[in-house]
Amino acid sequence: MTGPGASAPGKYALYSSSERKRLTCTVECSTCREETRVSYIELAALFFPVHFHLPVVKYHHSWFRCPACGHRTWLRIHLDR
Amino acid sequence: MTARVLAFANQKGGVAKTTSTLSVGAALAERGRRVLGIDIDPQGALTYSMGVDPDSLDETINDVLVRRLPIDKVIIHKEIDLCPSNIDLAGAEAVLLAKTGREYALQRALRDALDDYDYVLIDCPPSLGILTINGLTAANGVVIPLQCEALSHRGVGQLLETVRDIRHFTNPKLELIGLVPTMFDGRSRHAQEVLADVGVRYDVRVLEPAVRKSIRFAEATQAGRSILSFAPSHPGAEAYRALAGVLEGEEPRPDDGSVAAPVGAREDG
Repeated sequence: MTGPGASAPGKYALYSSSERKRLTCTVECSTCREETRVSYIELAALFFPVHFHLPVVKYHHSWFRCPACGHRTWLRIHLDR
Repeated sequence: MTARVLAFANQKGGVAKTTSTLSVGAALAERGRRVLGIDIDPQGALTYSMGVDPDSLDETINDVLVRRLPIDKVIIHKEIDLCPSNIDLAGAEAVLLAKTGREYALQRALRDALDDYDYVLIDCPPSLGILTINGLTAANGVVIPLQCEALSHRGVGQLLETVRDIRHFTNPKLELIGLVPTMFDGRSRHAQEVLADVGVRYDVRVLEPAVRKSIRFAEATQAGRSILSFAPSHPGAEAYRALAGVLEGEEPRPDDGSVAAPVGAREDG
């Protein structure tokens, strides 16, 4: 792990970003307001069978099934978290 | 226009974080700005300082962060608008630590309120835990109140390291606005030396003017008001008015009734 806190691993526990694994991202739900980490494969499954994306128009710009509450609703995908 | 979010942070307690948050907020409100103060200290210092009994509250910032209650449901309209806190928030740390995206809980909660205010001022707790990280993640800039006495600089290095971590992990645009010298005793050479030392040692801008030590601040807190409404012509009130101007990009005035930071403190942030 690299970064400014690399010499003090205890601090990493405070940042969920430090738990990031390869080929994962987080999705933030506008309904239950939970943020959930999913793999790209899980994300593809959540898109099934139908999904929409309206980038720029809305903060929660993608419509698909939330992995936390199970509702089909607007979510935001954070590829950088 | 969206609000500018400023976090007042220093993990050392008793350095006038709460007083600075409320006083700067009141000074900005005097200038006609719409200001929201957010108390994320489980001790509820800002809440108490604004004349609200923290223990009497049913819903606080804890419900916003943990239960995802909309922030406008807990806002109290006082000298500035207040999102209050009480001891319930101590439990939020444990709850948040188990969640993905825990650093962004406050940023998420604030999103709906940013258009309603010109400034959001966050009074951080005296620690570098998850609540302070939430405050710094949600903020555009961080202001560090610093008591002008020996040992007070020791926490500044750790806080600056946390600011670097925050920039790396969650908020690359976080601006280090500067140190606010508080409880300044102009008669003491020691206070001037401490201030000059910290500014140079950490290469941080020292905001002017320094705020003098005065019992009137404690009296204002006891009265549940800011120094600006409690003693409007007091040099401390004038100093915070000047600091509010500095935060808005103005140059400090030489006749603001307070004390300029000593020569030697670096001005380039």
